[in-house]
Amino acid sequence: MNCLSITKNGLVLAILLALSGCSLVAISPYDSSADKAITKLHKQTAEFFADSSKASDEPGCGYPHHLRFYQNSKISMSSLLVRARAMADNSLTVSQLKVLSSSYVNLAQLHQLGCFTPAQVSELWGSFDASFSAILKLELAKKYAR
Amino acid sequence: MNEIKDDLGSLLLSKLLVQASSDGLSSNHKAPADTLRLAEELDAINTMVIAGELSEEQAVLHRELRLNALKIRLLSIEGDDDIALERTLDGMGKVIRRFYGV
Repeated sequence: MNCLSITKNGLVLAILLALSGCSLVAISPYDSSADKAITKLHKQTAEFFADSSKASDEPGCGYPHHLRFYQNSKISMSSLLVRARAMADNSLTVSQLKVLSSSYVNLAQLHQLGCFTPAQVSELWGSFDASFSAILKLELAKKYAR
Repeated sequence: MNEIKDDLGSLLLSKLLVQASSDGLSSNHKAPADTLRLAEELDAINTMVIAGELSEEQAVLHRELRLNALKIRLLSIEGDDDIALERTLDGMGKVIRRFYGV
């Protein structure tokens, strides 16, 4: 066995030990509870926007009439974040949920400025739908892409 | 026999390195398309401001929401890449372990 061969074997052995001894890339396993909770929140948000688009010029379109939605979404986000933080190697999902949480804060601020027009509802729903799609895509990739 | 094993081992390693450094494991090419879409969305918000449908204060919040959606999308792409790399490394690990009988 010459020096080159020893080097090659050593390199292969090092890679082998690295692959078997520890995970080089760590990402949390699929969480079905998170999947269901995110899907449920998506449905609540879709209902809110459907309701908002109908009532843009009616008295019930203002922020005070939708307080329950904002409170429920805040509670749902808090529960999702606690669960996501409790799981190891879940930093990407935690970051996604933190950003989504701030989106709900922005939405509430926007609603406090006045009722949403149909054009605004369409624009806002585009943002939220894209956010939910991306969060669910990552969660499902943990299950199906492995 | 040992020489054949060495050569095959080296080949496996070089394949792993090529895979890890190639675009096959990366979804980075998706990011420019998302950035372009964001530019169009921000442009649509500006059009709404010019048309008087949105105040500047409202437009700031709309833009922030669009940026948040992009951030979430980019995090998803990063996660997809990590999962793809994890899958490749696991596969290579299995092949190498079987090859060396470990």
